[in-house]
Amino acid sequence: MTLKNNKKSGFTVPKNYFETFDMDFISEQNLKQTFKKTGFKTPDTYFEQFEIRIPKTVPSITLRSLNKKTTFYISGIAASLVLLLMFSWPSENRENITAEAIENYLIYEEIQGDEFANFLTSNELDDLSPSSISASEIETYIFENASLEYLLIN
Amino acid sequence: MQNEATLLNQLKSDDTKELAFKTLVELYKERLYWHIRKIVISHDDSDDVLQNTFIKIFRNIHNFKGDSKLFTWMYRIATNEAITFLNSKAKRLQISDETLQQLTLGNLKADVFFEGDEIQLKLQKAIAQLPKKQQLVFNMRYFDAIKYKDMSEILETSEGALKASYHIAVKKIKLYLSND
Repeated sequence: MTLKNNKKSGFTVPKNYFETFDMDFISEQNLKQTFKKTGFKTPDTYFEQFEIRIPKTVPSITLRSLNKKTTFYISGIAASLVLLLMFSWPSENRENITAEAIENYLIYEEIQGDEFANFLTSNELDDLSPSSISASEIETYIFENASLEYLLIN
Repeated sequence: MQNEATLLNQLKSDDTKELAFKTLVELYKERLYWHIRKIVISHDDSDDVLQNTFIKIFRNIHNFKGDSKLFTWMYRIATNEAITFLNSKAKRLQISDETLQQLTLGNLKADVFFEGDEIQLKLQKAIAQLPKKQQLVFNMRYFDAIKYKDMSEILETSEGALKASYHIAVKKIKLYLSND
């Protein structure tokens, strides 16, 4: 591609971009010469004495798990909320709202578990049968589903 | 240094797991510590996060599928642990992440484990004014010279975006330092 073609493309670069292009690299090197270290240090013999204390046993904790019936209720409530939001939205905007946008709204607007619980009757809440999920299962779930982007915005 | 594949096999076998894990800790404790330290700043917090990082590595090594390098997988865990730690600390103190970072930097001068002079303090302040992800990219590239390809696996971001992010970070830091 020639310079002439570039001119025709309509793209422009900041003033003195090409004149200072090499300088960017040089000044980064200058920066590195001035700021070589972070200044952080550790206690003496920290790394020599460092060892990992892995807990031998993981205590299991009892949580209420969602059985199939409850999952069905909650899915139903979520679907109802989606429909409610879709039909209560002004009609001129409705067609622009995707299911994904509503899902994101429900995720990021921090709708609490007890708000969902308000949609359940006491009988339905009683159907939430207690069972045991080990802490390691919970940890594995969080570990496998952690996203840096999500952590950075929270 | 032993082959990564051999070490990985030993880590996944019950008979050799503990010994192989000790080797892994020896190999990576310093690199992971300094990576974490640049994110959380305080030594005591870094020690906690490093402990948690290695515990997670130990417990989840059987889930490592080899889709990435072992060290990038560990860096990703360390990064997530450090960010989670800061988020929790800010929530516990009921302050924003930015306020927490300003508080931590404010204490840095009196920190017995900070031996930097005014210049290094100024650099830390310059880094702190960057968005969180740019801070990560800048620290990993500038101080640790981590390759963009590896950084891409650690931060789950394209190489192009990381290069642009680093370039912008360097410009902002130079501008901050020249104005300060």
